[in-house]
Amino acid sequence: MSQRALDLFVQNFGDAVKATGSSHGDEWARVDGARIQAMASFLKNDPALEMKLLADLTCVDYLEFDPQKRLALDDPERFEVVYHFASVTTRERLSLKVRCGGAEEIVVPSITGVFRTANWWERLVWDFFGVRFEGHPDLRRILTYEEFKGHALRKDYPIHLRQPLTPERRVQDLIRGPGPGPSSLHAPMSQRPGARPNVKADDYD
Amino acid sequence: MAEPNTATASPAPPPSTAAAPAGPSTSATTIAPAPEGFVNVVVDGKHAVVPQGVNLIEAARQVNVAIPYFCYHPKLSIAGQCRMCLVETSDARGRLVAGCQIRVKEGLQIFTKTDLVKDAQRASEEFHLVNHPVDCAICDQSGECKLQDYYVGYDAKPSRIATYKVNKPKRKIFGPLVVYDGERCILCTRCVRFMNEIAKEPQIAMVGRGDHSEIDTVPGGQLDSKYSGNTVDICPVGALLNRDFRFTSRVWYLENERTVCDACANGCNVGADVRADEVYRYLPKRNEEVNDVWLCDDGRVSYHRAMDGRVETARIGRGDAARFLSDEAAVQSTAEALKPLVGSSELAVLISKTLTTEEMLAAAVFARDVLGQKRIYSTGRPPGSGDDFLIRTDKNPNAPGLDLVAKALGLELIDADDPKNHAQHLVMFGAEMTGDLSARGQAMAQALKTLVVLGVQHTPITEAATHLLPLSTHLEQEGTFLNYYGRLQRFRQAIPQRFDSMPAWAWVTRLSKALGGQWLFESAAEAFGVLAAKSAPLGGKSLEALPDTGVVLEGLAPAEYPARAPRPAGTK
Amino acid sequence: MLEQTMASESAPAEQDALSVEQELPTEPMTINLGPSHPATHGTVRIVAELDGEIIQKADVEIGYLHRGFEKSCENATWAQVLPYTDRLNYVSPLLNNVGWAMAVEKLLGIQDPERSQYIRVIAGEVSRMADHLTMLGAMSLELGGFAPFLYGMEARELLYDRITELCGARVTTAYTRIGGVANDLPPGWTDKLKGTLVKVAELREEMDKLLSKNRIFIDRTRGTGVITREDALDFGFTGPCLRATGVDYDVRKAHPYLVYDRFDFTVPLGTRGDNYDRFLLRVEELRQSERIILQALDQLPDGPVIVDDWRIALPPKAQVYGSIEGVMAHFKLIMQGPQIPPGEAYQYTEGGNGELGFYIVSNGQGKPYRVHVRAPGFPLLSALGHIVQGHMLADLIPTFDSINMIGGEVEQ
Repeated sequence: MSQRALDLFVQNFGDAVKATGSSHGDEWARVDGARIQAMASFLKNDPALEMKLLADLTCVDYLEFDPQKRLALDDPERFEVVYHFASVTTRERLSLKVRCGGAEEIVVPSITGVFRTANWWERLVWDFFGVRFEGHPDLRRILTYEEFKGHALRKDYPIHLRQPLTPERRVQDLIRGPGPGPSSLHAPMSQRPGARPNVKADDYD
Repeated sequence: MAEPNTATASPAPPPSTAAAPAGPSTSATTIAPAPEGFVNVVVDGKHAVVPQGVNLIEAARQVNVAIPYFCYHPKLSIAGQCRMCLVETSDARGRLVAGCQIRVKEGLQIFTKTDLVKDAQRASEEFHLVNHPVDCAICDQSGECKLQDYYVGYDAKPSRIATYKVNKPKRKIFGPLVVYDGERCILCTRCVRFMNEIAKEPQIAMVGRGDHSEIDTVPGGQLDSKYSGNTVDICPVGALLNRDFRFTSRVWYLENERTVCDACANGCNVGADVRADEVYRYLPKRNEEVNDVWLCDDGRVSYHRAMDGRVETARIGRGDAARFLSDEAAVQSTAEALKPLVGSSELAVLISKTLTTEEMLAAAVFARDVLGQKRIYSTGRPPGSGDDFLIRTDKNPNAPGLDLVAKALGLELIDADDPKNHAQHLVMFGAEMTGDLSARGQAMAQALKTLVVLGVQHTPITEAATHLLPLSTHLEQEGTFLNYYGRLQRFRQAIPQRFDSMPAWAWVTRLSKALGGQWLFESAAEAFGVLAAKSAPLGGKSLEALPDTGVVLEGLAPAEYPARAPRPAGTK
Repeated sequence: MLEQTMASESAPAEQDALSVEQELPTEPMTINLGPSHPATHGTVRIVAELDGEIIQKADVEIGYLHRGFEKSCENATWAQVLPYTDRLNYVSPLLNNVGWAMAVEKLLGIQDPERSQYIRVIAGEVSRMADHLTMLGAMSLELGGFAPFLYGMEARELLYDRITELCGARVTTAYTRIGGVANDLPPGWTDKLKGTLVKVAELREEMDKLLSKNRIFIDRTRGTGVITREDALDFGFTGPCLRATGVDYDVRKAHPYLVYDRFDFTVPLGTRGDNYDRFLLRVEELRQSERIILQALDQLPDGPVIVDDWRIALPPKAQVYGSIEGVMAHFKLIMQGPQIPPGEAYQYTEGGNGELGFYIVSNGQGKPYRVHVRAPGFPLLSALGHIVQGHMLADLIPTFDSINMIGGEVEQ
């Protein structure tokens, strides 16, 4: 459906394109990740393409794709970061795929500077796959908590793995109800049992 | 798998359609001639070099092309009964040949995906299902049934019959291990051919004609061969079923763990089907040099030894004075009882030939270094009947292993049945003994002041013990067995240790600690390493490096193999 | 006397007052909204730094509803994933069901029968109406109007009655199947639905009258929560929030799927991209959904509601109990699920809040290798911090409402 877009893209970035294809009517191109920022910028700003919508940014772990031929954990082509670009004016779509992996930290340039929506999508990929995005302003976990260990959607993260218990964080202004907590003799008024419904302003600590 | 819904019903076989591949992608002149004994063939456009004389099914397997079959089995003679393996070849385009019967020849092209072949596969499957009962919900074979798999793979069409199905005998007991269901049988005759050719006991045959054919035992006879369980394995449908396993578990819950059978000295490779830490059945595992793909009936039910009648907790004292203790308390109590006996000549250590090699090593070093003994006594299961195929008369899985251990440690090994021993205190690693067990048990209870027994099952011997410690079977630990043919086979842990049991090397470690000895084994691999360092035939091997199919130790292979026993390639 | 005292103190007091003001330390106050908060749709935590009433920075923290949808899908067969999809956008579950079934059908390369396509459109639009009614009601509730909320809920309950008759559940519908839908419409359902639509229209018009010309409502929503076209596209907006900025992009019109190209409906567009536009747009979309449903009910053809291939769809129960082929097909489909060939596909539909996409990868082994749901609410919520920055705290509430992020799909 978007062969024209794919052709235009390959014309401009042919040397970085490793493979192209059409999967069930959707065109895709597997590219070298080093120039992904330039590619995203081109797709967004080129007047013939105008792909101003980054519909989706996700990742796939190909570790066990072939059950007979399991990849090594540090295979350089283990992860594939997939970008789906769409144009709301020309109605065309194009997917770019970037293979990454390796024994060192896995790094792909971030396109947050080009599409601000990539901010959260890249955080999602970092959280679940451990792919670090170079140049991201605030790369931290998004759906799991900070003390979470590991990257949950990797294929070598077993589905029944337990996480260690983390101690409760001290949060200012948090009023806890009755329950296991500081003993009432030493607790401030607001935290003693039965105190909550009728607490007056000057009783607060 | 998204086949369009076209059901062709033309009576005459149509000529191959344009969908058939036109021929090999390379012309014959550019394919190199095959080496001696091999031929070039082309399967679905893929070129393969296959040994001369194989049939088309095996040739296609080389290039991962699957041709379906029911009655063909690589170890049995060819029947050509099921008609499921029909394919087209270049010799006769527009005609179908049976892939199990036709042999390859140079330059042959095999087509398995043409419309003609697909229609034949669909029709064969439909014919097999015409009289098949609606039994999936109650049939044990569900989940490992070829008929089911081929139905969704090659047929997937609704039934076209509008009448009743033929009824045949159901739930007919053939023998102690096998039950037959005539309606499910597709008459592939794999079972008949197996009993004739492999087990060499022709106890079943096909009787009747046409629609009413069925398999039956010879008049007045039973299917009581020692290999009858293999007919259940090779039956592609749920016609022959294992009475021991029937209705105990659905097969998709079972995980298969590779291990070795411990019913006799043959050491057939088996897979234990485990679910929720319990073994539900044994299936043979392929090992061309030990047991092919077969297993005898005694071995098949031998997993019950680990499941039923187990010694569960440690016991100190007999009868009314018996107290059940935790493992740690029992170790302390046993160590106290053994402390005054260290170095005594009235103490004897018996090691059963059913233990793993690592357990034997641990027991032997305990006897030599902690208890100060110069000789160890061997005990084990009494010998039974054997044959020239898979069953050995020695019913202990690891007798040569004990010889190896004794030699490595420089201990004298004496058979416990030898009347020359007059011990007053016994430590038995393994409670197997020959003879009348209840008589021996009573005699031991009267004569012995201390009887420490590490036992698996409750027997009169364990009843007679003053200190009874629960022992793990080979399924619950990692280890090795040395079989009758000098083959060292390793197995991994299949189930967690049941109840309070531990392997013997773990007991030895704890007792050593309590008695101040220095042999402390943290794992079976450690014990094996100690043995490998001291034993010449093992020559410093490590447990992790042993292959799953085992390795024959130098100098320990027998001079002659029984007539029908599988053996390493090149051996007479 | 008091006045004298005050007068004598006034001159130095004025000066003191000024200098006191300058010496008072002022620093931004950090307040925490949520995650358990009556105005957050789903468990979302917003840590807002306030300078007085102005929000200087709003950091949106999510993850409190993350249930591991994508990982769970890898452990189920393709057909078993369907009930998981109900719980994504739990306000319009039928749209999720349709999206999933279409994604798997795209990978299989099959299409469901025509009647099933019409039924999917009808069920999807009913679900979309439920989603919009919830949003309108909740927005009104949080701005203080309780009556329109109750009208919205009443209308939604009437729609839920129809959905219950259709598939047995109000919310956890699991209605579509790979290759079609689970069952045909119950007898008399189409007439009942027409009656329900009339009642829903009445309630909708009541809500509209109460809110869209309401002084307070307009003051609170017009001009608040504004986002420009370029920013909206840059932040990945789709659906009503994007159309409120004036971008004409609706997946039903841009890439027509099912039988949407046979219906005559308009796609409302906004101009300002503020909360008021998003509100009005959804009211208008409710009217258009009703149009689509009525046209679909008229055009509804006869025929099967699921594809006839027993490798994908369960055989009829008479066959399952009566023939070996039926029981085998049923058995294999339940135990192993439909076998999907290796490949990947990204299928997108117009969900209640934007483009709902399913990116699925199959390795031919009978279980999904990777399922990724492109939740429309995810980019919408990511822009919230940008939209409310520099505006008042009170504007956060209607903005959060009109974005209509649904916790289930954002956090899977």
